[in-house]
Amino acid sequence: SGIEQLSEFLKSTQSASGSFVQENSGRNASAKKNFSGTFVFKRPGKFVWSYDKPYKQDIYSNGRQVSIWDPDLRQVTVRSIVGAMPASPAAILFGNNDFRRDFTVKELPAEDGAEWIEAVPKNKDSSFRDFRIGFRAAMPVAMVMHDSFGQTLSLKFSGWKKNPAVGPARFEFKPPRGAEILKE
Amino acid sequence: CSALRPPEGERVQRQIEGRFSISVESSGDSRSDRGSFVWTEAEGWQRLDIGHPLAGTLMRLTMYPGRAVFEDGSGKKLEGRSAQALMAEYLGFDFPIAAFRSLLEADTGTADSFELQGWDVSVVQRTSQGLPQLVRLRKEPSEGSPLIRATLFIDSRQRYAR
Repeated sequence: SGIEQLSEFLKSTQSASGSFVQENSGRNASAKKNFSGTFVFKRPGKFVWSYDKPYKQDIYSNGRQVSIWDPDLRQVTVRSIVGAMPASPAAILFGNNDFRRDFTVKELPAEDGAEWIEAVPKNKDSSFRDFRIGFRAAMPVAMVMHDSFGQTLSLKFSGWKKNPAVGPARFEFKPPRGAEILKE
Repeated sequence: CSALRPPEGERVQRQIEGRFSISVESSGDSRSDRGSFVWTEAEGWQRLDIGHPLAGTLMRLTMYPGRAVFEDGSGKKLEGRSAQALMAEYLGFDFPIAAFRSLLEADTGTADSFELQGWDVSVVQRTSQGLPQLVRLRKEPSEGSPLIRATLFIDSRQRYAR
């Protein structure tokens, strides 16, 4: 079942890397956008989420603080991980698997060859009303989120490498010369 | 459906999208935030959506003639006559709303630096067509309000046929 695959993923995948494509869509004209990039993570709470298209932007978490590097703005914003991205895809998939503490989880019918669950954040401050995650072979293959303004974010994951050796340095962001550092 | 929300399908005329950061400094303390923005203009209303690709839309400011409505993702809603005042009430500092509007209308003739409603604006980088792309804004501290620095990067400008 989806819930069993979620538990298996949280337990057996302590680190992983892969690629994602993301489509944002919604009722209003401004919503339609496509993004793509790569990710790598190591539990609990260490990850790098890199957007390559339509622009470059890297989100680093070393488990203590989140650094968002934007080469176009030539700035990196650094903030404590507490409350940085409470219920974002990265926090859910790469967090420290106290999934049931933060979400009410329920089984959904299988679809597109994947088994799905729905997760509703218990924290009402989350920008998302709900998450749906599809699993195959205990790995997430897709994720769909609805925000409070009628926008839908759909993510598809591919190229999973499960439990690669990843050192802590991979999750530390070193600002390039000339970058402006904005602290929270 | 809330009567305040613009009816769907309202003809959008113009739009700019991009990314921003803002930092607020007062008495040695500083805080900053960043995200993406969409500024939309249609007949009868303008709208500023703020969010992040990974978080969706986080807040929305809709401006009608003589009235503005602010909403955030948790359902909080503020209404008033001035969009600037609503944003300041929610954020706790001034947000350069006029800059979004002016950058939508900016053309290749826009000066590299100018003053806009108390903000010093500098165009740091332009697109290949000469339109402002990377813009830095600064509002000097004054009687109890902090130094505010903002950076805007415009990713796209969109004009919709009438």
